[in-house]
Amino acid sequence: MLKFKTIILKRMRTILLIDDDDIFLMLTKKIIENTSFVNQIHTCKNGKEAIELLSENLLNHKTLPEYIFLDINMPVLDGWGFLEEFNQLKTQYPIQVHIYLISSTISPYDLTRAKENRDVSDIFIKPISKDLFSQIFNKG
Amino acid sequence: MNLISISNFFNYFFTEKSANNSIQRKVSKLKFLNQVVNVMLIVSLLGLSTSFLEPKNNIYVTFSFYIVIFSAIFLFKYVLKKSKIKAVSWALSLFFWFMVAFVTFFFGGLKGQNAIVFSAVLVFIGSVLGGRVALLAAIITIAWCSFLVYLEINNLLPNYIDPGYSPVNSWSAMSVTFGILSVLLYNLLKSIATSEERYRILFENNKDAITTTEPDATPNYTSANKSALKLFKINSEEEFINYSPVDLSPEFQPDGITSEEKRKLIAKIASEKGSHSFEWVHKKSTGEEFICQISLTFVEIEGVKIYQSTIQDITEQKLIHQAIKESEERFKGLSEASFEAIIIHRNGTIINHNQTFGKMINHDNDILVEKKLIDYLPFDDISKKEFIKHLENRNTEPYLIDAYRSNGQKWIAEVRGSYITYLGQEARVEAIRDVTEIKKAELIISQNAEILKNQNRQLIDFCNIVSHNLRGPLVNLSMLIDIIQDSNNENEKAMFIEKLKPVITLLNNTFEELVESIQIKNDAEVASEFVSFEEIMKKCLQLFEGEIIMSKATISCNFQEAPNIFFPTKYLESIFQNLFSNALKYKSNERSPVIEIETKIVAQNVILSVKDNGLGINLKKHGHNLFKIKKTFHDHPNAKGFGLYMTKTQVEALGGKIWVESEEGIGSTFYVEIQNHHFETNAYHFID
Repeated sequence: MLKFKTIILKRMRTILLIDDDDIFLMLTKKIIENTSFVNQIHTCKNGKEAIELLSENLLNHKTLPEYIFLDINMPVLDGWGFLEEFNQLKTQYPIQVHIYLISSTISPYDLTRAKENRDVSDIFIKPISKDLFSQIFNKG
Repeated sequence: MNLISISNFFNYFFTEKSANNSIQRKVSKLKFLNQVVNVMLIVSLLGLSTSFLEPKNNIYVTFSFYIVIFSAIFLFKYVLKKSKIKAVSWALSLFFWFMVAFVTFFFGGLKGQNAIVFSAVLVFIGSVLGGRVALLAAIITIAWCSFLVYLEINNLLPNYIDPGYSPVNSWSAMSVTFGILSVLLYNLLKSIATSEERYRILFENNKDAITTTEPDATPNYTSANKSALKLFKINSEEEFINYSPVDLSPEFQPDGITSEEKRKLIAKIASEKGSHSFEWVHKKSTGEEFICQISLTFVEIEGVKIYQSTIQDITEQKLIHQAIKESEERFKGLSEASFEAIIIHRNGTIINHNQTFGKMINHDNDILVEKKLIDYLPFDDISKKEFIKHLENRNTEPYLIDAYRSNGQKWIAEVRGSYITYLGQEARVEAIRDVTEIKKAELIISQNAEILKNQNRQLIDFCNIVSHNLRGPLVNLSMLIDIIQDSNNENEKAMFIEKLKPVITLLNNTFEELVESIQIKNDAEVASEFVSFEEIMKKCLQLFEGEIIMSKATISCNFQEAPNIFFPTKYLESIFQNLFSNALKYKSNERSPVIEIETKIVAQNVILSVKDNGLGINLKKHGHNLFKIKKTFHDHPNAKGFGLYMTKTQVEALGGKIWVESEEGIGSTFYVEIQNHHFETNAYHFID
C-alpha cells in the first residue's frame, strides 16, 4: 500500500515555461525543480518558439508539456498571440493541458481578458513562490 | 276724403311737438308744400284752359289774373328751394286769402260749397305750416267765406258783381280740381304717416343706440331709442330725457379732460364738419362705465341745432383689441430681446424681422419690409448660393454658414428655417445666430478631449512600462534574494549573487529612459529654433560611423526642398538618431543596407522620410503596437522597443505626426510630419 502511494505522489510532470526574461526563466526553473514534482522543464523565449516546439513534438507524448506557464508581454509573438495559435493546435494535442498566465502586468484589461479566455486556467502576478507551484501541481 | 285721411289729418294737426321727430317733420313739411304748389300749378293750368271755353270772359282780365297766379307759383317754388318753410306757408295762406277776396269781389263770388272747400284747404295748410297765427288766419278766412255765403244767399252782393262772369266759374273744372286736390292730400298724408312710422320703427329698433340733443333748448337728451335705453339701463324715454350726456359720463374722460369740456369741444367740431366720430367713456345709470364709439351728426333746421348720436358699446372690442395689442407687444418684446435674428419672409421677400437682424446687418432703424432678403443677408456669394439651396430644399434643419461683418470679419452663423402660417398664408422664418464663440469653444473642447485621450493612452503605456520594464527586474531581484537565502550551497549562492548585478543595471537603465520620456512630455513647449537638417545629419553620421562602416551601408540624403525647420534641436537630433539607428539595426542579412533620407514640403509642413531596405515590418500584425513601449517585432538582440515610442512622443509633443510604410522582407519607410511654423498654440495629432 505504502509503495503504491509513493508512486502516485512522485508522478512526474513535463512543463513549459515561456518568458523573454532570461533571469526569470532561470530562477523559475530553479524554484520548480525544488518542488520535486517535475522531471522535465522546457523553456522558450517567446510565443513563436513555443509554438514551433509544440508542433514538432506533437507525436511525442512523453516530452509534451502538461503545464504551460506563459508570459504576456514578449517580442515576436506575445502571450495572447501564442494562445491564438495554440487554439488551432489544440485539436491535435493528445493530452490535457493547463495553461497559466504569469505576468508582471498591472493592467485590469489583461486580467479580464485572461478570465474570458477558456484555455487559460488562471493568471498569476509575478513573483511566483514555491508554494504556489506546489498548489498548482497538487490540484492536478 | 275718407275717415282714415281725416283721422290722419287730425292726428297730424294735433300731434305733440316732440323733439325726436322734429327733423323729420321739417322734411315732410317741405315735401308737402312742394306738392301743394304743384297742385296749384295744375289747377291754374286747367283753370286757364277752361276759361277760354267761356264766351263771356274778358281775355285781358283772364290773362292778368293768371299772370298773377303763375308768378306767385314760381315765387313759391323759388322760396321752397331755399327751405324757407314759414315764409312759404304764410305767403300761401295770404295768397289763398287774396284769391278768395279777388274772386269774390271781381267775379261775382264763389258758390257756398266751393268757399268751404277753399277754407278747409286753408285751414289745413295753416295748421301744418303756420302754427297758431296761421290757424288764426284760417279762422278769419272761414269767417270771411261764411260772410260771403250769407251775402250770396240773401242776394246782398253788389250788383256790379256779375256772378256769371269769372275765370274760375267753370264748375266742372273746379270739381275736377278739388277732386285731384283731395286725392293728392290723402296720398300725401298717408305717405307722411307711413314714412314717419317707418322712421320711428327704424329709430326704435336700431341695434345701435341713438339719442338726440338740442343743446340750445335743454342740456338734457331730447330722445333715445330702445337700444339706448338698454345700453344705459334706463327704463323709459321719459326718464331718459331727464339726463344730460354729461350726467351719463364719468367726470373725466381718459385723456384727463372733463366730460363737460370735451363735450363742448366735440359739439363744436361736429357743428363745423357736419358729423364727427369719436371714442367716449359713458356711464350707465348703475354707475358702470363703458367705452363707446359715438358718431355725432349735426343738423341745423330753422335755427334749431340738433345733434344725433349713434352710440356703439365697444368695451368688448376694446378689450379684445387691448389683449391683441398686449400679446403683440409681448411677442415683439420677446423677439426683440432675442439674440437670434428673426426674419419672416415669403419666397425671399421680407414680411417682417426683429431689431436683432437690423443690428446684425447695420440697418439699425430700418424695417426692410417688401425688400429682397438675399440682398441684405450678411453673406458672400458662396454663402448666398448655399442659403438659396436650403430655401429650395425647404430645409428645416439647422446648418452652419460663413457670414461676414461690414468690416469683412468672418463669423459663423447658424441658420434654421421653419414654416409658419402668417396672415393665412405660408411663410418661412429664418433664425440666424452667431455661433462663432460656441464653435471656438467646441473646438477647444474637442482639442482638449483629444489631449486627454492621448494622455490617457500614454498613461496606459506607462502602466505597461511600470509593469513590465520596472516590475520585471524587481521580481527577478526578489526571487534571486529568496533563492540565495534558501540555498545552503555556498557555490550556488555566489553564482546567484553574481546574477544580481545585470538585473540592477537593467533596472537602472529602464529608469533613466523613463525619466527621459517624462521629460519630453513636460518639455512640450521647449524652445524651437531654425535648424539645418544637413547639420543634424552630419552629427548623426559621426555618431554611427562605426556601424555604417561595419555594415557597409549606403546613405543618401536630399534636403534641397526643405533645408531648414523651426524645431527644438535636441528633439530633432533624437528623432534622426532613433530612425537612423533603427534602419541600421534591422538590416537584412541578405543585403547591405541602403538608407535614403529626404525632406519635402507638403501643405506648408515638412515631411522627413527615412527609407531602408531592411527586414521590414508586418504591419497587419504589428501596426497597432508599432509605436508603443517595449514592443519589438524582431527577435533581435538589441531590440529594446523604446526608440519609436520616444520618437513619437517627441514628434507629437510639438504637433507633428509619425507613420510608417513597410513590407516584410523588403524594407520600411518612416515618415515624420513637422509643422513648420512658430508655435503659438499646441496642436495635437495622433496615430491610432
